[in-house]
Amino acid sequence: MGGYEKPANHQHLAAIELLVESLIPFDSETGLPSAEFMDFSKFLDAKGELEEYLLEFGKLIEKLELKLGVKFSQISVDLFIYDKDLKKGLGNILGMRLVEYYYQIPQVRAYYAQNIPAPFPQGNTLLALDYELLEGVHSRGPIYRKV
Amino acid sequence: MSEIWDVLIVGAGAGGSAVAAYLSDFDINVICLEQGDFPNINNLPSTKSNWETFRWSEFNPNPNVRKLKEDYPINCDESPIAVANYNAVGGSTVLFSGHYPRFHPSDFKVKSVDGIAEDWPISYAELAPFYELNRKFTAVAGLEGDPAYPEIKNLLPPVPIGKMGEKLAKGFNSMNWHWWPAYSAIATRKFGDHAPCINLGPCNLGCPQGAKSSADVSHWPHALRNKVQLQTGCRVSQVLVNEFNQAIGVKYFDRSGKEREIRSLFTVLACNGVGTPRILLNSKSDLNPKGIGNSNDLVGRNLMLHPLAYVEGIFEENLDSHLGPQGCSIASHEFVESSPARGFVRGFTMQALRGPSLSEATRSYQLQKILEWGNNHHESVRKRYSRTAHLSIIVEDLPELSNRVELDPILKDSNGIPAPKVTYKLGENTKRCMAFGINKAREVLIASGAHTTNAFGPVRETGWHLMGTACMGDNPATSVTDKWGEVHDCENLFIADSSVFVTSSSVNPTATIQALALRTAARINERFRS
Repeated sequence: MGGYEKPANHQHLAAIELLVESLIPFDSETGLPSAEFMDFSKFLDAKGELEEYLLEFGKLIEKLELKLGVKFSQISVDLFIYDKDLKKGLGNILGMRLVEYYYQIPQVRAYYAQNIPAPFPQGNTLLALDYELLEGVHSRGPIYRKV
Repeated sequence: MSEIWDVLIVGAGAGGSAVAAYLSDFDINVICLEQGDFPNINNLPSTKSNWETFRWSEFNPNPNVRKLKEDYPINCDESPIAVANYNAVGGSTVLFSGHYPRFHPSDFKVKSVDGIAEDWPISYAELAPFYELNRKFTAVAGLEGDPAYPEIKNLLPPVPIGKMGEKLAKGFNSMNWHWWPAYSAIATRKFGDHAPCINLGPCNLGCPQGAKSSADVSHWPHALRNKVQLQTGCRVSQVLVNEFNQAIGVKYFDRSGKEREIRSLFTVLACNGVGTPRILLNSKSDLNPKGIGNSNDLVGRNLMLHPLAYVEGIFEENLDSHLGPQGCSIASHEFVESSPARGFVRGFTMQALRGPSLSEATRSYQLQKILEWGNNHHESVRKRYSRTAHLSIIVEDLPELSNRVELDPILKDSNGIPAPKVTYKLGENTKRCMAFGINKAREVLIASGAHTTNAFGPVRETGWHLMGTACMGDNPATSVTDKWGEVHDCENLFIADSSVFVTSSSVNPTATIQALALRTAARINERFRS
């Protein structure tokens, strides 16, 4: 275990790749895809944040190795994901960016019935007001104070 | 600079636009300086495939995140609520959700009816004609007959309440609590320069349809047709006065960064409850050593922000809660008025908010630490998204001297003007009111059929309503402006934004800002004629 002059070594990169796909795995029930590290890293790179995130991952990995006394390659991904001490740190470091990336994937958005590519100019048809619902409200009379 | 304008307006947002539109109908030379640009309606986020992502960058409501060239930084380190704004023609209305209720009659008389704070120097009845007049420009949708108000007539048809709204409405009915379709600054049919609403949804990323009455759509087209001069890219640093302490214009930086002066008979500040006190406090001179209007040390004080809590209810069935105009479904004014048994004075409104978009919702789950990772991830999203109903609790916070806007001693904007620093704490009354409101929201969500509720508040990124920092009043010792918005200490200087609010009500302020601004404009017109 050493310092982190370099963002992450090859072993860490492989671990992160596996980790990202495990955090949001393929869903056999709906066919929703897993998160892909290559795409996610491009997303981070476009934001100029890839190096920073890899560095933070490296710190997390080091923390887990210290805690468990074994090398990261010997630790199951599930343990990484569900380790209570790490979960908060994991979420802070990765979670926000991962959902930002993942929920922009067209296939995912299509599943959740978002308009693609954007809400304009299609618009939406919504349930209109059923005026009968207001009868009870109206029958109470004024509720504001007259001053 | 030899030209002297009749009226100079600083800020082209809700208040400034109303002053400009009103005065443009008269033979008055009006110019408006605005630090932002005209929004390009054809280039708003909702026209792009990755529209949601703009919320985290150039369309973020927090200027410290947005960091556009027209933004100035705001130090909010000493506030649990961060200031939200937008600097452009139309101001923060470009990103507002369009929720557009009036204040209630008692909101203007809180000292008389509840024995706290101060009464406004005007009444609901005095302002009512200007609420009406404003509808010449603003499309106001809603429904007549609301028991929460004196009669309001001639509204456009209400925005459809949607499945989520109907679900909640039935819940409110089961509690025998007030609810009503939202008052919305949205054209539900063709209105003036507005196109009819097509229920796109993300109103607070700007409306590419042109259906939302942001001031660039509602008031500016009229003012510009009537030859009001609108000069963008201009950031005002201070108000200038003559030897009699009368306002004679402003000093400003133009788009190139060159410092300039402009002269006027009347000057109107309309830069919101943070921007306006910033300029007043920065306008120091031998005559005004503490800034203009600040001889009583009240400029910047009494900041009110409408602390807001979110309460979510999760339902088994799909409510389509992610569809439709976000801030305009239904609202409840059941708990607006004081009731001694509750342990606090004044109250709150409950506003149904349509669900956030997919990216925003999942980010919110992550922030709340309710998003699961691994094999349960998809299910944890599926069981919430579009199945969640949202109620916001908007609390009427009371004016407190310690809640304030000052000039930051270090932080400056790109022109070297001192940035504002916000210091704000929730008062005890506010905390009790919010806690009560959260409980009531949980009750009605469960009555509506929710199997789970989550609540959190105050929500940090919700400081849209910036009120009270240059309050109006009849007594110059206890207020900054008179009842027309003219600064007591500085003749010919008017304020036309929510800085002049004496108290905050528990409803969104834009309708009242614009009604007050029209009233101020009418006063300026009278003064000009005399």
